[in-house]
Amino acid sequence: MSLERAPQDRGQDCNAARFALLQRAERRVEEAKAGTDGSIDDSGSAQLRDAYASSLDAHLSRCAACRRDLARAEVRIAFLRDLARVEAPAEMDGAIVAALQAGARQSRAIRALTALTPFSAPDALARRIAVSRTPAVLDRLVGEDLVDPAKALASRYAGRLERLRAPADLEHRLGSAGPRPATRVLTTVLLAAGLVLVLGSLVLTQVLRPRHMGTETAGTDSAQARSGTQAADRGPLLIVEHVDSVRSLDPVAADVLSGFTGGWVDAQRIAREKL
Amino acid sequence: MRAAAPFTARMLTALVALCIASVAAACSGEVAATTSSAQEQLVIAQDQPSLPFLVSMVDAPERVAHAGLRRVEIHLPADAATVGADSANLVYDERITADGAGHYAIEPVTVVSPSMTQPQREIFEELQRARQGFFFKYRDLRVRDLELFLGNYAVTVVDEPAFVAGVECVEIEVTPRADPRRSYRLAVDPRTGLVLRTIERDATGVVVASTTFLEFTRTPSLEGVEFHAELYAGTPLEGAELPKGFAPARPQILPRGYREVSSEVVELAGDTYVRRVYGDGLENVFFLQREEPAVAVDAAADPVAADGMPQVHAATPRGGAVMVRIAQVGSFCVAEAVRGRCTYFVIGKVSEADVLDILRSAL
Amino acid sequence: MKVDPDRELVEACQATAPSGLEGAFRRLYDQYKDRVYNVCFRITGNATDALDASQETFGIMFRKLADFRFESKFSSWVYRIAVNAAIDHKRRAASRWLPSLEVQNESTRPSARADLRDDRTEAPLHAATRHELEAEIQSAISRLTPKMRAIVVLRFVENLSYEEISEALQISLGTVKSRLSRAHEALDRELTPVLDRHYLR
Repeated sequence: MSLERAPQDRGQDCNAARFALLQRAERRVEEAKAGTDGSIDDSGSAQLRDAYASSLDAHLSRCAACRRDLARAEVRIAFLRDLARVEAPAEMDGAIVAALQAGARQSRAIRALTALTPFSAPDALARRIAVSRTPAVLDRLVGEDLVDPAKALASRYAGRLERLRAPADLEHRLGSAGPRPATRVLTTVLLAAGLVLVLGSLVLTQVLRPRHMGTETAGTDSAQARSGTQAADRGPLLIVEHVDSVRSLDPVAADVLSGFTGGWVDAQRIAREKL
Repeated sequence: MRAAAPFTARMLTALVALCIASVAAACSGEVAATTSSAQEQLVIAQDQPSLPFLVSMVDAPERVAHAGLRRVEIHLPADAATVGADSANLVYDERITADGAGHYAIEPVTVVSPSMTQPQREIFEELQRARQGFFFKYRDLRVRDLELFLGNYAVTVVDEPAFVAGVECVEIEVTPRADPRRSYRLAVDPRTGLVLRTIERDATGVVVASTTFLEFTRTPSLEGVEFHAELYAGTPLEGAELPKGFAPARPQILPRGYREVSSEVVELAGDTYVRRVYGDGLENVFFLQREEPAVAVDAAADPVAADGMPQVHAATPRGGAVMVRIAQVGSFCVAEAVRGRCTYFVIGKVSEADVLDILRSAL
Repeated sequence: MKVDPDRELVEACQATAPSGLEGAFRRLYDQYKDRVYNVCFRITGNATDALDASQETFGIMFRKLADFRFESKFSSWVYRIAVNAAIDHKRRAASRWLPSLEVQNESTRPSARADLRDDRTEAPLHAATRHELEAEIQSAISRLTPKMRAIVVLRFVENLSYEEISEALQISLGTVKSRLSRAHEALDRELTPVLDRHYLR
């Protein structure tokens, strides 16, 4: 018996018959295993008999490819069903006991921690605002950045440039020369063009400016990190408050730090306890 | 006209020159960065006296069966909430056993400093046992990603071999390229790649942490060893089920040389967290995100929980600004920020500026 | 709705809040350990990862049992945990390098311990060939996507009905059928040359 494969793409009928065919294969394997004929009646095969059996039979009678598929599916399912049932190894009991003990240990550790009196940072030392009190204008600028960063940047620089004044002697020379209106327009146009170039280059500079990024080796990550440069420029304003004691941080943060420091944070805490 | 035209021409020339200069500066910045990086790699390549030995360091703790007693010392500035300078030093012994197939146990043995009473020591040891998985994976100094490690650290082999617990080791000096004042001195068993001694110094040359095997064997007895059971193993974030409405944030700016190592959903103290770990090949930075259930917050309430621990509030001062609380412990920086119902944490051996970049780019 | 056959045992666990592998939880464990291990073994493809995933399954079961409200069959819940633990474990294992000791160590291979002399399962193939074939079938399963792997294991190894699979994996009956169909196609591609080879010997 050869189980050469049938072509993948066949007619609509074959596609429609595909699942019914698999169910039939399953049923036949079950029947063969149970040594019965049609006695297996799980919901799948019952449905099959009711709804699809006759049409499947009809299809199989005229489709050699599906007959081959059915034969292959039967063999495949028979082997899958016959995969040796694996018994849990003897060491699993020990592993489970260890896992449950570890769980109990974790609970004991948590209980031990909660039994300790909490750290409380001295009021005078506890907090100081480092970067604080942002002027209201900053909120506006941040808002503008969020809406259109390039425009915000350009308008900010343009705002500065507007306030630049030409040196007095130049003003005098220009005034005495008394350029004609057409020349003045040309000058203005050229200057405006120059200004646009400057602003454009400034924006470009912002885009090209190298940054501290994730390393470039991981393709997806680096791509995301690169696009994130701009996202970070638009990130929220952070107001930083320094705390002098890690214990005034969230317990989870303190716990991770304690892990990194080999238990140092806990040792600090426990050593204060009168136990 | 005559006066205006040269002026305009000069102005334009100056403006165009400015444009070209600024664009060129930006571009050359990138080029310079690339060239510099390539040169660094070249230096690294030339400095590789025994690459296979470095390669074997990556997974040695899991791959090599071993056991031993080791002394761990941590010297950090005393916490403001701690009375007595002595408690700033933590010195203890622990026994590590690994079966070489990924299973391990780290059992506390004695606490040398600070001095603790019996009940204090029992609590401390209980906590240490509960944390052995974290110690093995994140506390213990090890090369986690060789490519990243070599990109971020300069490695020099010390001429003289070192003997640690009777094992002849190759000693290497590892210096972060970003801050060459800091250093790690590692004594490595060249046959296995296991690190048998680490001495970490801060920027002033002061030893801030060390781990030294006092006894060591490569043929451990595994009888009766209760291996660590990973109870709270994370689920990879991709495809994980998160509580409804929990939108995982992802930092877009990482400290220089860091790369994402893992993104998982973990359960800590009964809460669901997204935990992202970033590494530079040697050190790790954690980014954690937790979302509180939607409950009304009494703004006037004292921000102290039932257990007396000060709680972080959802401080959103104005204009979408976010309050970040930062604690610096030696070279570690810990930050927490609350935005809406989400609390974010960044913890690692990185600068405050890096931590803020991570947070800002994630929020 | 049928009464969950495990209800009594689960409620006994919930009532006593077990502190370890004892009492009602022990009975529950004994009832499920082979099923859980089997699912984990067939999904992870090796004994070490299967043991770890089983350990994780029972750890989760132990911790969450008190919250189980019989909104699904208990067995479906257990299968769901086991499938997820095994898939997660395999994903985690793929991201780290660990030597697979089973490759060298025949004695730890569960298939080597399994009784292959069962009259019902013994085909007219020589036992050694059968062993080899089984390894190839396992290997083909391992190459399926995690979702397909899970459905194949639950259907053919654990013999769950489509409805039970739907409940365990929390997917619709239609998805069960279409996923199973796709899994068959993939297995067909993988196994036809293998089965041909064994048949033509």
